[in-house]
Amino acid sequence: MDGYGDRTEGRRPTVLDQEPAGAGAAGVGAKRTGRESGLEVTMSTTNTATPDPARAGTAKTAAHAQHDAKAKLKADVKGLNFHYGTFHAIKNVSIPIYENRITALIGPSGCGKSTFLRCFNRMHDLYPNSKYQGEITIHPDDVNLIGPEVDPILVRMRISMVFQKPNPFPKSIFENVAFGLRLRGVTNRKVVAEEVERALRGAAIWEETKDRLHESAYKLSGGQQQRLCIARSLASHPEIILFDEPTSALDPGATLRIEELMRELRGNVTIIIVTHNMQQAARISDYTAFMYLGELVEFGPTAGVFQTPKKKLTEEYIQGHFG
Amino acid sequence: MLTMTEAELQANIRKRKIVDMAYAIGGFALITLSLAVLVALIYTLFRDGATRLGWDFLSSFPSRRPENAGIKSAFVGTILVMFVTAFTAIPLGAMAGIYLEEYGKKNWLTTIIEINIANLAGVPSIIWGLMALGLFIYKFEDWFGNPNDLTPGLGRSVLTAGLTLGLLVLPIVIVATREAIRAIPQGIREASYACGATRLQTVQSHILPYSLSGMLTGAIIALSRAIGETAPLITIGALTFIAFLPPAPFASKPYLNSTAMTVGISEDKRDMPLSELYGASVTDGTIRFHIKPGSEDDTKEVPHHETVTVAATDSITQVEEKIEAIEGLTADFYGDLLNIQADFGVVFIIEEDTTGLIAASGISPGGGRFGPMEWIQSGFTVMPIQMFNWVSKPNPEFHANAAAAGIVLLIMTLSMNGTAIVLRSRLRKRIQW
Repeated sequence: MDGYGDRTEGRRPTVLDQEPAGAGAAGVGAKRTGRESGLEVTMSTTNTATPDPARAGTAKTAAHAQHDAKAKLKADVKGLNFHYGTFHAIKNVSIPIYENRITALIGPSGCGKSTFLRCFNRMHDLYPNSKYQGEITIHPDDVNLIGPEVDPILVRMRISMVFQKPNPFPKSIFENVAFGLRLRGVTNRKVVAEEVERALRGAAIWEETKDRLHESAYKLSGGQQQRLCIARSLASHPEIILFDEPTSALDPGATLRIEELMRELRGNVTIIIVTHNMQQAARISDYTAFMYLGELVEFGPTAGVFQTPKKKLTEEYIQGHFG
Repeated sequence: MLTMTEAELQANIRKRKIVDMAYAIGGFALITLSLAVLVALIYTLFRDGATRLGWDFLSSFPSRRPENAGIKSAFVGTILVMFVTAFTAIPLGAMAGIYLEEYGKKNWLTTIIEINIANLAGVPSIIWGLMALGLFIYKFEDWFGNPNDLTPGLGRSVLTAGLTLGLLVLPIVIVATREAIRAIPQGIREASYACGATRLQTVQSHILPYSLSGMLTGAIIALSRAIGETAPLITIGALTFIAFLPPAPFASKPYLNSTAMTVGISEDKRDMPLSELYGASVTDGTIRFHIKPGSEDDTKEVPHHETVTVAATDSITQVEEKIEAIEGLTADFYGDLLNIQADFGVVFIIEEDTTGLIAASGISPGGGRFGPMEWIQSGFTVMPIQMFNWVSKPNPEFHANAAAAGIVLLIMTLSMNGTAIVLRSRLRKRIQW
């Protein structure tokens, strides 16, 4: 364990994420329905509140229904266990992560999906008393990301992250994106400018910001800030990008743009996304993992998980019976 | 009970509004009262002291005659001491705060440190003065003083005073720094680490710049406290009457002034010729002094030059005698170093030395033995001590001087704070969470 100094209370995202599952389920459910009905206004053609097995035949979901034979393995999670102090947060989870595909992690609050995601870039190392067991092997070089011999900084330079709340630095738009390059000691102005432009274009925010690159990032709207954060994570040419509920703090329009962006990124970069929003998972992901109380309940191609769930628990969650 | 008529509701609201109003009026009265006290204080200060204010007051040394007395040495002394204080307390406090927040792991050691910092902020300033007297002045002399050193230990100097006040206000800076760092959202830290930053890169690029305005607030409070401190400086032996300025930084000539020294002459070298003591580095030549009499009674002669002719064959006793022939100067060889002292209040500059003796005896040509930092070793006084000195004199005209000095001190504090507030608001404009 490589702790980055102790933080006092209120700085333990893992703990915040782990309120007892099922407690206050009705309240959470009610909130979520509200958010989704808001989404429906802009996405009227896409979905209804609960996925209907009868819609299995639509073209979009059919493409996702089977495992994509062309997909290569990017990473392998094998027997992952994670302890926060005495709390066993992740229990023996194994899933494959496919290259240039979107893998969604769903499950009720406190099921450990954010904790699971944060294992990929060793974010838990920032806090004391965290313990990893098992393997997250990244291909093609077969490095075990959570191996004690692997430097978390190296892991974070290969795998970038977009957070739940847009968290741009209080610097200029340009400097936000350039931060990753500056860390690597890139000083050539031309190279930095080119990379910043590439990342901003990649995050579909170049047109909006190209004339105001040196203004504060805080002048952007929430959705723009989140796309800036995506640009920041793209700037370092990551192999995997982790999205931790990237749209939960955004309005429906901004959510839609982020989802479009993720679909554009698919094919070029491997994405793992944690989401509370089942429709979002259904819309954008290729694979879905359903987690409950720290355990993996079901993993498979998204359409399969949503339309023909193998486990009763998955079916109940998807139909909105709990969580 | 919960169902009220319209009239009952209105009566209820009226009753609560009266309480609300009473609170507002009471608060306003109290704040007016405390401001009135402050205004009265400033008014008396100006009424008593305004007539004494002027360029002469700022540019004169203290004097026995109140109408001639000024605050030149105290004004410069306060600025120099504050300079050392700021350069001690702010970087040290900021680094300590950053360490405790960003690096230190939570364990019994950091807990003890934290409790101690909180307690240190409450230690009476006189205790700090005693600590400085015992440590910086006496113990440092025991530990680091050597018989060849002209100023063993730190002495009763600007440096000692600055360090003492720096330690006194250090807890304030540390606490303010930590508060400022805690205000930075954890998301910013995580974003930085998620980009692959090391701890130092995170501190440099984010923690430090974003907490700078909070640190400045701490610095304002700390320096405002330090500028008014008297007790610890009296304890470490700040002078109450000084008629010279510390040597200017980067002065082009060696510049010394009277420092209290106990001189022990090494007897075996007493009658040794200079050529034997220093070899070829000392030759026949002259040393020219510029003497500035700055005595308390203002009757001494105007600044003048004195020249001493030295031969390489002279013994050190002879050189001493030649220098002591100049009124106001005494000379002693201390080990093989030449220590020239002036009578209290007299200032002298060595303008020219063709013999090489001054350089050979350890005085560097850049401006004294401490080069551009020579001022740091100088004796000093500060504004509050000067005020205290004047207030304690029976002649009421000195009291006017004290009031005038109070006005100047007030202006100094306000302008120092003003600068920091402007800096802070500029920084804040760029950063809002």
